[in-house]
Amino acid sequence: MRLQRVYLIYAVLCLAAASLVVIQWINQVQVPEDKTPESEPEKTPRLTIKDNELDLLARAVHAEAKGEPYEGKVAVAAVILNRVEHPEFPNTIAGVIYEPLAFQVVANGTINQKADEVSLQAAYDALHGVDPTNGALYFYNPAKTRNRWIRTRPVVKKIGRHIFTS
Amino acid sequence: MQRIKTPVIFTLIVILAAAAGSQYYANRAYRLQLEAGYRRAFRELAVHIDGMETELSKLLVANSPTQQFGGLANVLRLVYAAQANLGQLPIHGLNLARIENLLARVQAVAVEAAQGMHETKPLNAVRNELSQLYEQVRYVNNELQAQLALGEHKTSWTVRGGFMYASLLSPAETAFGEQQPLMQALLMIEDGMDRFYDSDFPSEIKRLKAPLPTGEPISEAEAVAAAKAFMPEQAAGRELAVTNLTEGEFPTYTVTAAAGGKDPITIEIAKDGGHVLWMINPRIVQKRQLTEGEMAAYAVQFLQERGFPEVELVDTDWNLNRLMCSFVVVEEGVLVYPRQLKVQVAADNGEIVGYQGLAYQAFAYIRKATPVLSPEQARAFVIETAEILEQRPAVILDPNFEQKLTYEFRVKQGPDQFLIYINAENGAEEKITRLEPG
Repeated sequence: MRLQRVYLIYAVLCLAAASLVVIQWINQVQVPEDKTPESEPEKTPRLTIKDNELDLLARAVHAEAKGEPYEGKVAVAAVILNRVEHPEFPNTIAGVIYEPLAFQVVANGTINQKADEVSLQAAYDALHGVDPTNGALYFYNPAKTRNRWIRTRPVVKKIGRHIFTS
Repeated sequence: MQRIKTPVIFTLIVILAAAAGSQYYANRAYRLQLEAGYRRAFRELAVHIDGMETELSKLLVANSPTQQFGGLANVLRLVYAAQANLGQLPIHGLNLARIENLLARVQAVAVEAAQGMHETKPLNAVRNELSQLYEQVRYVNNELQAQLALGEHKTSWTVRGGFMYASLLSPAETAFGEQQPLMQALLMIEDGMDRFYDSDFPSEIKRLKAPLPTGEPISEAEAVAAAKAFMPEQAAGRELAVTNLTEGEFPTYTVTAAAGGKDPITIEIAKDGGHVLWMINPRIVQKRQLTEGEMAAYAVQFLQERGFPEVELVDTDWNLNRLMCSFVVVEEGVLVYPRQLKVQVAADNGEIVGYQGLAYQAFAYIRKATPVLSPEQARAFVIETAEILEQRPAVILDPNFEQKLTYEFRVKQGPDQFLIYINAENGAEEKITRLEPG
């Protein structure tokens, strides 16, 4: 009887291990869903924003500002762009977004989710100069952050659940 | 039954052991790779800071343009490399603000000196500042070299939770030197920089900033009235109210036009002067029914109805069934690029769904200048191998936000097209912009 119980525990452990292996395999083969942007009508040469930069910015907006009002989404994109312009931050959108520990959505992988149309539009508006934060460099959700330093920064604006600071 | 059970259990144990082993080795390989990456970044940071100290010291004694130019180029290269290394380390930038600030200042001063290279003694203007920066870079370098001498290889960047802990706490709260000596060393360097005068470390890098809209302060009611006057069609049937105030570089009122069932429209009004800075409408445009020409005409009509001066459409861009039309003001036949306006038009019904006029409002003053060179004379300053497709006078901004009267040449070089701006007063090549293929 005791031996049977030991076998049972072994079996459960083995099943758990096998499940872990299967989960890991599934995670490895899953590729974030992505779609090539629809091609636009042919145009004469012009100044343009790279589609991949817009897409990355929109993904960050989608992940960081889910459930926020449209102005709040534009504001998140604007903060990223303000950092790109600022000499103390990396000078590319990818550099700012992927800066170690700068954004939670990079650490938890939600940055890889496809951006919805509203986020794309919000990122596009910000890239064309709309900045609801007047140059803010940081934002945080007061209900979630434990960072005391960021709470000492001068508040520029509150939009939805986010506080934007300079 | 017993005969079957034993091999099954044995097999399961083997599978379990294999899975656990593979996990262990995968995790170990990953951590080693991560550790190697962080060590490379840290060691390269030390190498680049060391090189920077050497180059700055040489610049202080260099007296010929050849040596000065070479030194400045090297300093800039090393600053960029050090900034990249710092960004690769698992430390949030907040805690190392002084070191980052120092790198940014070295970069700014080097750029300033390099831009004055056409002068006989370009470094004289910034020599004092370079000397101060050299002292600070030398301090950082000495500390970093001391850390390397202590045996950086004996420590780890990837101690579980270590760098997360460091990044979330201020230096005063981080009492983890035993577990994270490298992290602690960097924070100590940061703290040690306190011994330099505070004036050497402004809280923000001195940045050249574009001018901002100005005017007499307005009330909230006036802001609502300004928004209503700007968007009368959208305002009809909507409730307009000031819903937010923005502090920062220039104070603004956020006016929201809300209506049940409709997406709220946001209009930002400058507190000083009551200028409409931008408008955003989140409506998703589902289909494309209008041509680009028709939509551009809607945008032009929108600006004309609001009394804007003569403008020219310089760029269009499609995004999600919207057309972004970029205009610049034309004054006496001259394109005034600083005064830029952007209007977004919906492709289903021609509605204006976005407007951006911050630059237009900020650059209200246009510097009057008379060209010294004729268009033909300016043409001689364009590289001979380029085919000139078009040319016209244009006012542009230099990196210091100074207005320059230029001739804009659209040229073709191989498969690429460029805009080349030749200063209309002295023939200097002010700016080159590459046009992306459509």
